[in-house]
Amino acid sequence: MSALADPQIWAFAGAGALSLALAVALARARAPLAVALLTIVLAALAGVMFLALDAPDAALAQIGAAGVIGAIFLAAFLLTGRSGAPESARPRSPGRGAPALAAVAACAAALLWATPDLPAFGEGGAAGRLYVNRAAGEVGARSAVWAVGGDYRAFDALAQALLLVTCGLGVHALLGLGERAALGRARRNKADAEAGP
Amino acid sequence: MSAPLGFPVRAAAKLATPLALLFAIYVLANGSAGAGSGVAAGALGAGALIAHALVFGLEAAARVAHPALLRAGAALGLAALVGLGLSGVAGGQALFDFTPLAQTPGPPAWRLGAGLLQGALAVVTLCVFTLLFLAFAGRAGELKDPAG
Repeated sequence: MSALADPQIWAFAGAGALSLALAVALARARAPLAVALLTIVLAALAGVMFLALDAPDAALAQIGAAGVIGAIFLAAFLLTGRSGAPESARPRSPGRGAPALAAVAACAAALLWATPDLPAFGEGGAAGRLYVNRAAGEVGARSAVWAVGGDYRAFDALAQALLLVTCGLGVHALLGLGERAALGRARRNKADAEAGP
Repeated sequence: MSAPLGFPVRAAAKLATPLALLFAIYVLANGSAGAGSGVAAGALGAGALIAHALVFGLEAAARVAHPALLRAGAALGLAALVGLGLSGVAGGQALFDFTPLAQTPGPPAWRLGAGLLQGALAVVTLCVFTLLFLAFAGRAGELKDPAG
């Protein structure tokens, strides 16, 4: 009774339902611009869901990253064609989707099978209770999330930074990181201007 | 990527970008007392720089955040994280044990270590996100504008 009166539940359910609908639209979308925009909206909706679950830390990171990654997606799509492959170029035979569907169903079954092992919603496991009870006294932080991210799971932060830098190195290998593109053009423009009309 | 935008957009960007950067710093500094972390602060800062690049052009953004500076920031931030982890080992403790940082165990050392770690994570996030955008957007401008 009290659960249904909680507006946060309704915000979470609404954002979740909208996410599902947008995910279907995203799977069916072909135009790169539509894919990029739907991805941004989906990521922002995930932020709304975090907010409804009383996780402002995760929501802030999620919405911030949604905007930035969306902008990066849009810039990357400027490098590609404006439309997807034509319908005729995509082979369509009846049985083609079956292995993919089976793989998705197997993953979903594994997740559902693991769900009962999770602690009840809002309970937290033994580690969760330990973090919440000890964060203030041990780390001196009022935000338990900050203490977990910075102290108890500091190794994860290192892995996160490694992942980001690896992404950057991958783009560096493919495109070069910035100078040639961003500044090369400016330098050429300047040289043209100095050379005169 | 440097299409001339109208006065309202430029005026709004001039007003909003510094505020977004200020908010990123606030999120980073206030993380231990509320919502916020290094990744959120870094993403907000990168968002401000990307907005600057979208409105005023890549050259203007690269003057503020030069790619060489961003590359150095990403590498040094990662090195700082590794160093923070190893500082515990060097002091005879476990990996990422911040006790040696403040000589004494307890909240001061842990808070200092976690703060430094979140700061380094913010630097890495900001630099890598901004670099990725500059790399893609810079090439896009080059490819779509053969006369330039």
